[in-house]
Amino acid sequence: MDGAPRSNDAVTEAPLVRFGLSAIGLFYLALFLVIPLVAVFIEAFNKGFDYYLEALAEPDALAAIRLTLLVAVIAVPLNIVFGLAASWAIAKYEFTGKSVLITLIDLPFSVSPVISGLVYVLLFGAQGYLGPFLAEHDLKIIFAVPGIVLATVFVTFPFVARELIPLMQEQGTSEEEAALSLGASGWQTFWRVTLPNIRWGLLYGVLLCNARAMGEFGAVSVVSGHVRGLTNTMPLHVEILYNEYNFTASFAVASLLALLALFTLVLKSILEWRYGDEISAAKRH
Amino acid sequence: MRSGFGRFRSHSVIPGFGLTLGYTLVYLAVIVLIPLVALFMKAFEIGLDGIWRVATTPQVLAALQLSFGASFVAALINAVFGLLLAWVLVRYQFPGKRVVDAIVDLPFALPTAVAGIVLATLYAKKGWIGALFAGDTWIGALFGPQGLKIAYTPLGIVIALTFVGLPFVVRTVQPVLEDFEAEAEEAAASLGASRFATFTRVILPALLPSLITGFTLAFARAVGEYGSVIFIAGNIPMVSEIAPLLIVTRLEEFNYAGAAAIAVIMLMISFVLLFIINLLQRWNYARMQA
Amino acid sequence: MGIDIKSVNKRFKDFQALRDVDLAVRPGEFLALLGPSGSGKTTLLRIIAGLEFADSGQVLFQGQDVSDRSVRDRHVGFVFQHYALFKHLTVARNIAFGLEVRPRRLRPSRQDIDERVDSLLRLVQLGGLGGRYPSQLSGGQRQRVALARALAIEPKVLLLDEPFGALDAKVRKELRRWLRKLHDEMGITTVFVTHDQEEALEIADRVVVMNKGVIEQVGPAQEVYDAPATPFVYDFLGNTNRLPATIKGGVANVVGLLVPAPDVPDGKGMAFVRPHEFELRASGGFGGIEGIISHVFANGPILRIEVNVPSVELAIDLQIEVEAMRQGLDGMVLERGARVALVPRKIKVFEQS
Repeated sequence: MDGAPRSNDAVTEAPLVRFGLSAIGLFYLALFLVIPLVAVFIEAFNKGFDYYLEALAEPDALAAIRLTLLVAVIAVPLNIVFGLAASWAIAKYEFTGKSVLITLIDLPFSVSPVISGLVYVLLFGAQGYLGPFLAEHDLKIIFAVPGIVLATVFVTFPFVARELIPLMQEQGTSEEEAALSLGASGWQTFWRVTLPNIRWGLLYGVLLCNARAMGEFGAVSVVSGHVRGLTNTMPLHVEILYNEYNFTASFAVASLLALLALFTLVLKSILEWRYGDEISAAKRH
Repeated sequence: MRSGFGRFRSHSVIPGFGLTLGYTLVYLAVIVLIPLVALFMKAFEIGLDGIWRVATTPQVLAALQLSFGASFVAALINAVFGLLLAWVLVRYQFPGKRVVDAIVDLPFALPTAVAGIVLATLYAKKGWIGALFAGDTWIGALFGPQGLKIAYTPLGIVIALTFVGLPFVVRTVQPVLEDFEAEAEEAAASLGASRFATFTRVILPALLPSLITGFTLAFARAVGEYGSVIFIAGNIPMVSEIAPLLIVTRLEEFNYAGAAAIAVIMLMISFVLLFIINLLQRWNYARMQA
Repeated sequence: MGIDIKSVNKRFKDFQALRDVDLAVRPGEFLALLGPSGSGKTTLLRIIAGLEFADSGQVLFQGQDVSDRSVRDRHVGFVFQHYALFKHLTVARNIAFGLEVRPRRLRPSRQDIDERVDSLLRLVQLGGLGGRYPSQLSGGQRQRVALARALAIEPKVLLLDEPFGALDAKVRKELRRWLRKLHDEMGITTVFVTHDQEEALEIADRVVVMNKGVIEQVGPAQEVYDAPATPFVYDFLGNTNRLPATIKGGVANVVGLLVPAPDVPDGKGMAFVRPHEFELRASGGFGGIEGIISHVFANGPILRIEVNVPSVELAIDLQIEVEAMRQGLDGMVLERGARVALVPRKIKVFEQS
């Protein structure tokens, strides 16, 4: 990408054109990406640093942060296990219906987050299909933490799988066969041979999965019930504060999420630059 | 003699098939399939004619039109500028290019609610950008005495959806552009074509499939988008109310069947549109192979 | 350890890879499975290893039926075509792998493992390279690591899948001779797959020639070359001339030459003669095929001569290739357009397949 500049005039535009296009492109990016990003932080510190800290230390805000972390801590490992299982099944064996399986795994990407939350309300909500059953046994899923975890899992489970499937398909089965021929069991083969080979792709997928899990809004909004201090994740808390015209506090919480986004971007770029070929071409979204 | 799973799979030596495939299928069934089935069941409780009635309600029609229309416009904008960005990133050198390249992915990483509030704030009448278009500035005066109102109008929705879909086209076009052979361009130049002619006649056709793919991805994403849009949208029924919001409203009214109906309609329209685009892609691909 | 393969069949989707294959591998021998791609040789090897399972038939190790045993329990040493080294482990850890994954009670001590690895490294002439990673080694070195890794578990049989296929010619020759010497020292039963006949003929005790899932011939290398049992074997090993023939009453008419063919039924057939099995004589006289020289190539001490034989039966002229040592041809006119007679020292006639 950062190769020697093309000095071949036959296939390069006039300098003016180049400058013009670059300028337009950079302006476009500045307008749509940079200014909003910067604005988040400027708005967050609008009333000074102390106000910023107070806003974050507020009990409801802390509860929201805790809930966000809790949901991520549950959803991400669940999706890691799924991603490993699904990519192992798809990459190491031949069976009919593989492409249907892969399409199913991609499904959450084509469904609106609101619909993702809706389906769980229809199943587990008070008037849902399993509503009466849950009420009988005093189980709350919708408007409670389990519902939030479920909706988050739905929206984020493809990330790890989508990274690992092409990667493991590319790597094939010969190293695993070698390990087996040397006497290793299935688990030993997985731990000692497969896992080290996919570690960077796995990390990349986990990174994306986590970013989405912590930042999910639409799906969680539908199933959450918005009970302050109890069923609000950080994105939902940002919404509540904003709707109460508590703009600065809202941006304060939002700035934490923006920091998470920046952190994700940095790590993502580092992984892509250093381990590009081990993450495979699929990383190009 | 070995008895395996017969025709289902070729007997593989690597252990764990049953375990991994079983877990995968159960997980998918519980998380995805059963809830989706519940969705369709709920929607069809009011029957196909019931769904049709819901679909033709003025409010629903307006919301669908807005969601799909704004998404289309936003995806189109992203197609144009995404192509431009991909070109600049692949063909030109400038300091800090790596950082610029990395930042393109910001909409993927930034939570939608954060994008939502900041865009709403920026484009509000008193916001940094919104203020530039107020009636008293020279830009705003171009649009009349009131200036151009962005936030709380469909225009604001388009801007939010453009943000959301920005990386898609860039990331689908970039790899194709990177692998593009300089020889084709050199041949065109040797035959007397200007850079512009070379671009439109040689390069662009080759990029068309990836461009369409990126457009499709941006479009699909924008249609379902909620968090980034809900703050800047205005949410006035018939004017600036997006379809996902309508679903949420129905839910809050406990009209589950109504909400499910709208969701199913959205899914069906998206499915048809994506199918058509897929066909277009295949036709284009076949045409180029021949 | 001897291996017996009985009536093994294997099918992949609509492709029959092995048809009713029977083979007996003698203990301690160095056996080559030779054939073109698609012949089934790799499939057979993998079935012996337990990396594939036959649809029907049996695999026996030393008389014991191992057909249902997994590859883990067969105790074979398998060397893969592209080595399949564990990229993230050093050479030493690669070799030690088979010992480290053993259940606790069967596992040797750390010290024993290290000693074994060291002695194996010296055996494959990679002493001191234990700390390197596979990516830092050449192709030939990686191949030897793969071999050492397979030998570390003290297998009863060594199976190699086109072990030298990915290497360049010089390295290939050196390595295969070294492998043969290693085999002679260790005495371990070895089966290897190759499509390179020169390789098979040079180092194997016996060669199994396979084609389209069937064994065409099994025998010592020299025998398979000198006395091919089928047209395919004749064609596949070494160069051959194929001459159309008509057989009647046990006698074949090969482009005018009469040759005894006692076991061949009447009708159309094909006669096979290797280029160096022709003797060049002056034109005229009996017992030879008449022809006109079209090209002469000098290749060091050997002359390669292309001879055109006008054939009444065929519409086209036959092109026969002859190889001869220059020395024995003094006194003959060997240039384009000259007439010669070709007398086959050795000729084999098969019926038309």
